[in-house]
Amino acid sequence: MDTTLSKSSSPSSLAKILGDSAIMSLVGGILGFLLIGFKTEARGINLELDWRLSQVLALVVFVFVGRLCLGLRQFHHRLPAIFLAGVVSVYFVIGLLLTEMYGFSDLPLPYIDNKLNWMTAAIYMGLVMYLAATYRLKKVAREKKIVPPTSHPKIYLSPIFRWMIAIAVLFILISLPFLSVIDRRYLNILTQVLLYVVLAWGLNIVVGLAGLLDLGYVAFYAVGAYSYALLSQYYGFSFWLCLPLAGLLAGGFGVMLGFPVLRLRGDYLAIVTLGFGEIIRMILVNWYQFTGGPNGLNQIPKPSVLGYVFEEPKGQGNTISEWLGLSYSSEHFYIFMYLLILVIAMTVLWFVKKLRRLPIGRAWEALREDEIACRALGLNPTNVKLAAFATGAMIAGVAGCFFAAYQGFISPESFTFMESVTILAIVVLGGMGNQLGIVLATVILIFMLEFRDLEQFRMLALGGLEVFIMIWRPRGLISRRYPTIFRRFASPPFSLNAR
Amino acid sequence: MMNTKTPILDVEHLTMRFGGLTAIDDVSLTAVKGEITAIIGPNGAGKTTLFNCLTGFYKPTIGRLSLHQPAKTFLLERMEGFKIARIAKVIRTFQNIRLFPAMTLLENMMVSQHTALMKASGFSLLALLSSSNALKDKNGFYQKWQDFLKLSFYANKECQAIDKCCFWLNQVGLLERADEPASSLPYGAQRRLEIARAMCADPTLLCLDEPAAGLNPKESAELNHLLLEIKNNHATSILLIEHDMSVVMNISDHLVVLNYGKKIAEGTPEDIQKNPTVIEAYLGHTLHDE
Repeated sequence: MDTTLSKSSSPSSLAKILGDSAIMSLVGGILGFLLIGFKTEARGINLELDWRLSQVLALVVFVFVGRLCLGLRQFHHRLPAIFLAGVVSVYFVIGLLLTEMYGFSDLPLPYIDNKLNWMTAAIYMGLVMYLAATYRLKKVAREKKIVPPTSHPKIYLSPIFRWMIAIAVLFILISLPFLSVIDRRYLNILTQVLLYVVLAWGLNIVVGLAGLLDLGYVAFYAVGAYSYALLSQYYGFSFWLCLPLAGLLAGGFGVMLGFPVLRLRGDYLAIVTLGFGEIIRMILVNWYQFTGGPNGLNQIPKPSVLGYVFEEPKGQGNTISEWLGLSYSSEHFYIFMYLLILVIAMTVLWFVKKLRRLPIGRAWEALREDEIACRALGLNPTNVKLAAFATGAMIAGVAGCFFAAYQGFISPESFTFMESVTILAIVVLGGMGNQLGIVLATVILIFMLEFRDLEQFRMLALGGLEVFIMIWRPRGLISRRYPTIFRRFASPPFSLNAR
Repeated sequence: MMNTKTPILDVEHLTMRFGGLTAIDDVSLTAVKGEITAIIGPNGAGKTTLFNCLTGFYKPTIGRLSLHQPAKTFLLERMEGFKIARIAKVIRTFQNIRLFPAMTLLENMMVSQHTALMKASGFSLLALLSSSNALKDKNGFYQKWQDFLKLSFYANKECQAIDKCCFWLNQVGLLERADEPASSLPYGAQRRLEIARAMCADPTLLCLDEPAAGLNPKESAELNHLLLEIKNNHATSILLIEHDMSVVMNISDHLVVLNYGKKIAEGTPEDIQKNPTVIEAYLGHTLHDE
């Protein structure tokens, strides 16, 4: 190791690496102190502070070593970097395996909580893989002289192939709830994922296509949910009637929000939409005679299918289980709701994909690219923006209606700013304007949020993940844009009939 | 001679003030139908401000801007910006190119046909039911079936629109790259694309703001050719702001010279080249300007 180090490094570069590492570990130490340095513990009637300084110290050491590896790589000492990171990860893995398998270990692991140890191990293993991958890439690039990409159009998958993939995926999605591996808990997560996918596809119209940053999107979700809850409570409207009604009502609210913010752009728009989201929530909290206030509304009716309801059979022959001849299980309802949200999601996907290829979709994207040029070409930015707000809101309204029926209980708690942020994070992480990227981002994000094993560290892990994705893929997971239209013929003549 | 020609645009006593600054001071000019009218002048003379007034980006402080179409005369100073482009059909390009960079060339062109396509697609709602595939085989079974159900009502319109886009892309020599993002084009090609995009909107008056800026001599010559082609073969009059004298002097029929917001001269290219006031405005203070 020493020989490789002294081979090409000047003392100044080594000093720089060490200096960088020291600064990084200092920053890590400060953050670590705030995050894991102390913990309040209730003992009897006293609240005591437990110091966990040894863990902070361990964190400082690991940050130092990790940064050292990256620094070594930067100055072309890849082998020592891989070696260093490898030693640490092997140490951790052996230590953890011993602890997990035999319940004891001679290798002292730094953190009391083994989840943190696993996280550290995972980070170091990732580092080893990253170093190894870039090591090979560099070598290949030097040997083969990679040809720079040409400006020719990208090659896209053929339509038939894409349809085959789509049908296969759909088949898997439909059969998922009937697998024995998928229990209530997983079915719930899957439904959540699909619900967020629908919401994110809706927000994607506003943020990804039309380029209008909307931080109050959850307001329309709330409008949809309360529409169903209130309409069914006061007027006894059925779910199937309320589903389109909730969409229309939320769409109306979208236009209402659209009008005052038409002149705003960027940060200012974001702040006003944020305000709108809070206004809706405050109304829901304070107008308790009508909305139930902070207690929310419960006993929201479950949807029925052709008059058959999801209830325990009472011998009247009007329940689903009697109709289908199955023994009653509460799981039927959840399977049905999963399939319902799947249908809603597929419809929304079709709707959004189709809209994108129609003039309004191109106008949205043009508006995102350059509003002034749009105006100079005769597009009315007002109408285009309102259409974007209304369409996005409508999709959120439908999702909200589903949510109310699925939960059976809603309260303003479900429609906080955090929800808006989660949906927006999905859109941004997925890649603005890309439907498939959004699905990937939702799966990652929702599994992360629902992954209770990480307990209080899950937000930390989520933040880290987002930072990592933003460094790795700054324009989102899938940033490739698929053109909405292609030319028909490669050569003239063309008829100019519209003159 | 002038009274035999019909004007397309009359600018009368146009004044534009920004607070204490008078960018345009009582300028009157006439653009003749079917001709290329060039507006020249040193930097800061108020040329682009004039364009901004014309296309509704600024509301003029004083003045009347009337656009004459066979059916109707439009008073541009009273119209909203987008309506000037949509109804009066005054389409402009920009000094600093304004394309839709992430969208392909063809999509850029399609956006300028937005109004017509929105109508054809039932404001994009009816067309949700229309088949999305462009006509490939006129007599195929699938196609006949669609015609029977009237499902391809939008697809047919879309095909015509694509053809029109391709016609203009071919005119500016960019058909090969129709399906690439506009941002991948070199500078000169972006300029041509912007002109083609404007032409796709069927303008009666095409306002070009320095179309030759940043072009090399060969590209300038091609631009001349394109503008003459538009003038001769299409019902479009051209209003041109330009610094490149090889463009201005070769193709324009009428020249208007502005300096410090005032009109200092007007006439044919030959007249202007000899005009002492113009020579002083250009050469009296700075030599590096053409």
